[in-house]
Amino acid sequence: MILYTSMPLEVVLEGVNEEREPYLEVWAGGVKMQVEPIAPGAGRVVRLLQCSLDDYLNPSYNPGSIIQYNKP
Amino acid sequence: MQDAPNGFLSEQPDTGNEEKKKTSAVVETIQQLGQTAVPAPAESNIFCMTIIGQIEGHIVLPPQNKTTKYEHIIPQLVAAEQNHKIEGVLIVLNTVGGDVEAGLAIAEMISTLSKPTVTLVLGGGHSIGVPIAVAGNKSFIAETATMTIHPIRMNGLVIGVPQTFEYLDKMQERVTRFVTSHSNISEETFKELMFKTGELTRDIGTTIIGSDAVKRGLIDAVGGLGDALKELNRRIEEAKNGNKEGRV
Repeated sequence: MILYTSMPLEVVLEGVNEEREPYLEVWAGGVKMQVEPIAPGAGRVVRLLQCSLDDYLNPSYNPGSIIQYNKP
Repeated sequence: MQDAPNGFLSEQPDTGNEEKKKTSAVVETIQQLGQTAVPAPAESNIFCMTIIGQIEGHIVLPPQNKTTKYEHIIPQLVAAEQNHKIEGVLIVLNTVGGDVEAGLAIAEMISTLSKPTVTLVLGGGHSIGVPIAVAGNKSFIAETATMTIHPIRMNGLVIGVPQTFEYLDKMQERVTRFVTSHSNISEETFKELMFKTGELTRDIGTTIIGSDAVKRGLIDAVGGLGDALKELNRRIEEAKNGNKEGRV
């Protein structure tokens, strides 16, 4: 990987080795997605794993948005 | 509720579930947007794609970075190309660069869309943001926006052999070739900007601002949101008329 950025690398990569909460794979609204759990039953979308093409255009599934899901 | 014994009256008048939902929706919009009325979502024929912060590629960046994830952007572009309701794509950039592969992948996807595309650089379009900024059919840059052009740096383990330099040079060439073939800037000018010394404090390279980028042929025009949308709508009309003529 080559990072081509005008920002200093030490700023970009600060904390890259820190532990983070493991991502969960959940179903929400018929879409399988990877979420970063923030509270029981709620998580921040990391990426969509299994969905229809139009779901990518749905702003509520954008990475970073918060969704509700049933606990796996 | 009115018949409830004294002392058990609900504080809120019972107006049915529907009403409650409505009020809570209003409260929610006040909390989230600071206003009561939200404009009704009208179907737009333009898809707006924002590319902000770091372009994240094969490695997940630490959470202090704002990132644009290419694994989301790429299928989004596929969906925009497939969706009949979308007739044009507006790409708004304010990025500090990021992963070379991911950035070039996005740039290639944008440049090969069959629908009209217009790019607009606001704030900054640095490093790998440069190929994305020139990937559309027409590019705009805000008067105050900047673009930093500088050489690719190697990170990670560097083996001190001549092949390392050759590899880096090849990676550099990919970016240069894409930019020069999708904009009016010549290879000489682009490389001159890239290898200039004394402009940046910590690096070699150049920062060019708004009209400067247009003067050198990197970007097509100085303009803002209005200009970009006007151009996109013009191109959409043109494409429609072209299709009609093609069918006849």
